[in-house]
Amino acid sequence: MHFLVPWMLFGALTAGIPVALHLLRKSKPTVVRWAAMEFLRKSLKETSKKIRLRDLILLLIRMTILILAALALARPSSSTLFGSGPIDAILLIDNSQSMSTVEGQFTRLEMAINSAKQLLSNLPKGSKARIISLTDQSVELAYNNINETDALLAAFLQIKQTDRSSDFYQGFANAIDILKSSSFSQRKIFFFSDMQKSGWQKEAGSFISLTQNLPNSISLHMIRQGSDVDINIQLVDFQPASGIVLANQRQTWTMTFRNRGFKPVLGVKATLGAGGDFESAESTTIEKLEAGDERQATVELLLPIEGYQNIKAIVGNDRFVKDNQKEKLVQARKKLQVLIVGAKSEIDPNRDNGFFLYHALRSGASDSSNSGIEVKQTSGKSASLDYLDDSDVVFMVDPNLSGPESIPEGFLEKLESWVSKGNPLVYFAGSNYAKTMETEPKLAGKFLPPCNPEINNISSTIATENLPQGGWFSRFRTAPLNLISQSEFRKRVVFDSSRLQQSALLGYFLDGQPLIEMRMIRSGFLTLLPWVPDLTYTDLPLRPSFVPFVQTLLSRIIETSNDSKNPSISKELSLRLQSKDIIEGEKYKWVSPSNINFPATMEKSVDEILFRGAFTVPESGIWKLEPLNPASTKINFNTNLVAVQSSNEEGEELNPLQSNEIDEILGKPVFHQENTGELNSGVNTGEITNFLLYLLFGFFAFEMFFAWWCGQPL
Amino acid sequence: MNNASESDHGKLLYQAKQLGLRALTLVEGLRVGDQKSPTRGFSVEFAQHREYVPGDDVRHIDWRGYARTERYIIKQYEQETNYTAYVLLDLSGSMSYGKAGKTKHEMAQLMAAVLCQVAASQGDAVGLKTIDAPSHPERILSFLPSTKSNRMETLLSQITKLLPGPEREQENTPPLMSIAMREISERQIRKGMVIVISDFLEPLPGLLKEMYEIRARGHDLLLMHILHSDEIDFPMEGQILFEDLESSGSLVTRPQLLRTSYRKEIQNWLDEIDVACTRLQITHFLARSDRPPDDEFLKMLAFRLQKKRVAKI
Repeated sequence: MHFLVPWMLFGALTAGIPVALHLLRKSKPTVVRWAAMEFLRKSLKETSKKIRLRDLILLLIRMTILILAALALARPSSSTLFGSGPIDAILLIDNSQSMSTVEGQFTRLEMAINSAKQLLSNLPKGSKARIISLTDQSVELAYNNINETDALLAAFLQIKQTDRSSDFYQGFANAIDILKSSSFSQRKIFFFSDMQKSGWQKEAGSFISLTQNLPNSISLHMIRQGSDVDINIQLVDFQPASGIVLANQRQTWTMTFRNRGFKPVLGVKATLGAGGDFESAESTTIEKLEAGDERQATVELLLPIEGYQNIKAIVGNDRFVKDNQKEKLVQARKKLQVLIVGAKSEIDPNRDNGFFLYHALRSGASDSSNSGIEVKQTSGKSASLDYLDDSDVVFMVDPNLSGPESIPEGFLEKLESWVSKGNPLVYFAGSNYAKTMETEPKLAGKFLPPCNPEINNISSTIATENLPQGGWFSRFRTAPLNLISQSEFRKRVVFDSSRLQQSALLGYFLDGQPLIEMRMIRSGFLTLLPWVPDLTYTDLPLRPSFVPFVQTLLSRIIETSNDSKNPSISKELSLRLQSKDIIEGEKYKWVSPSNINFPATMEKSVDEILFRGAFTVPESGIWKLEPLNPASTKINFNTNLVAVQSSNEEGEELNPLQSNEIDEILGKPVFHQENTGELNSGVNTGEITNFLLYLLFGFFAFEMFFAWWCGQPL
Repeated sequence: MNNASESDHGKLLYQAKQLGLRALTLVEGLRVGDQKSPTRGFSVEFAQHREYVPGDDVRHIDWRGYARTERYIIKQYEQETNYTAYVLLDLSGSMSYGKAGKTKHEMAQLMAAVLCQVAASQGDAVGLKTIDAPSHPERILSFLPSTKSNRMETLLSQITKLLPGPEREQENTPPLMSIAMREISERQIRKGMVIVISDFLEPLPGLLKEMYEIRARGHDLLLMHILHSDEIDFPMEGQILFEDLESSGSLVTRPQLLRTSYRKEIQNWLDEIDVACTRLQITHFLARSDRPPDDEFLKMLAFRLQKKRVAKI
């Protein structure tokens, strides 16, 4: 027998209150001068024994009530109160990201596993145990008799810490289904978790249907792991201030982080570094970060080499480490090669309609040679297919898709292939595009989407001067250029954070008419913008802020392009490689950041091979694709990495639900036990407490009756 | 007594005087009065015939009866006389119980004053004796029976000035009332009326014995039993320290626990007194000091007026 809230036992000291009251009353009686003492003495003589006995009984009852209340509040638990028969037990062990939180010497997951092991040792003979790991997916690891300890311990070894979020509903639903068909008379589900809110609330409404029809023989036991986390710094994001990662240049990076705990944190150190060794790391320190505050810190970083690199950022150091750090794979370029493919202006044949865009992109730096952007402008007719090989971003400014001035044959096909490899294309769709949509829809719509299927004449809807007053665009129309920062603009642009969708709107104009449409095409993506034919300066969309608009658009596109190389934990792991990078016939594997191997599935196409992670990605960080036999590898190690982002709901905040809130979601009170490392398998807390409460009520009722009968109500 | 009680007194006295205080037994007096005398005399009301014995005055021979029966018969008539009433007034500490204006002592004072005046107004001789512990001789007053009006005034004035005895004595007090009753029964030779005004909170056997003695000597005994309602109903609540008014004893208890048993005890005691009084043909009048006595008291007087004379036991 032990107590879950042992300090409540001090409440038993209140049993002294009735005694004290008794003595107190005796010490200060009312004085009455009395004549008929003889009768008083006689009646006292007759009744004193009875009175003493009644007093003693009442005193004992009242003391017992207080002691019982203290015992019930202390929530006693005993493993010896298990039923005598064997139990069919399911041990659900939460291995989601929040379980990596450190509690003293152990993580919550380690504590949960230790608790589960001790629980097994306390189950009655003949019991069977099923071990299931649970995040947003449940994985059954073993189902053995409890005397088959080797198999059960082996199952525990398979439970690894994951970075996945939690969603407990399906795990519970499966467990209950399994137990419903069990032949055991006693069936119990033990859930070892830190009870994160996100896990309970994703399908909060469905739990009641599970518990409503729960047979009495099945009981639920919540064994809570861990304590409240008061200091929790989360790294929200980090990115280069210019949006473009350049090699051999000292660049400013912005790190955004937030204090998600409920206490201020002093001296928050933000560190940014490149490569696995983290040697070239740079740091800055924020003096104080209040609870709930989000802050940005700038750190300068020099990337000496070109190509894909692993950038790692760490902020602070608290018990929940997983959200303190992030890794990204970024492509460091010497210069960002931008290709603008335009068409001749109908009004001014000497001017290309990409003219303003060209200058807007080049005006990013006073010294254009050092802006990190190299812009190549060409008309549609003279656009060479080879241009695409050297370009990082392509802007198509309403080129002619048909006719004598049209782009070369096969350009669109190559462009599609180029985009699908992960490159960004920005297509300004104007009158040429709309015309082609009408005359040769098959050609125009080959991979380009209709700009606005509702309105045929795109140009008329986008005319700058027709922009209505109000709305967020009006700010860019009227505000002085120097007051519009990129960050402000970025806040205004709505990106769909879920990259699971094939198409995502970047922003809205008004009343649902798309200003920018972003569409994923395999690994790359297409950004479609409306364009005004015969562009003059006064017609420019977002007239005074066209330059920051274009530059922000470019940096965001580059960022998104980088992010597409960084799938989140919920997204399927995949890596597209040129066939020249790999050895035909070789078998490959995915290696997790903690050096666990997973099989890689291979999909071949004409000129490339796609490697997928045909498994649930458990860990964030940098994953490597390696040949099964490392000796024979000729893989290009610059391109075999995938950075998996660890962000999920649990990373957003550590917010455990209280026992009563869990009961509310489940629609019925279940057994709860708080276990922070000292393991005790006692789970009959609720039963014993209920028993004590019944006893207490019984004593209370008896006390009321007896006191009334004796004429001594409280 | 305060003005209110004096006013009560006046009203009660007026009504009581209308009824008078009639002796239930035959009393012996020195003067002609309203009360029946045990002796036969020459009055108006015929009492009985009896055989002539030598020495009888021949004037009392009923000659008509002789003519009818040829025997000498003496014709006797009732002699009406006054009686001698002795009022024993308890001044012991126990009589001080009750709130001011409603103490047992004040009720006893009222009863004594009214009874004395009623008796005096009938021409009966009234004496008074106060009863208290021997350690306070100055409080033991004794007024010999007298019919003189100035004596009555003095007596009433003394009754008004009386105070209940010291509340607590170190030693247990002796049964003062029993002793006083014995003294009276021994001292008073002529049959008269003994009025005892007390709470009678002393051992009952001694009291009963003295009651018997008084009645055996042919006196009419009237017990004016004064108790407070608290002493009968015992309504107190909580933890209470009871201090004995007549001794140094005390005890702490919760009255609510003893109430039933206490009421039973006191009822038994009252019943026992009642039974004895009925048997000994004694008037037992129980007055509650916290209630006005008027109706019950007047009923008692009326009852005595209507009741047939009782014989000597």
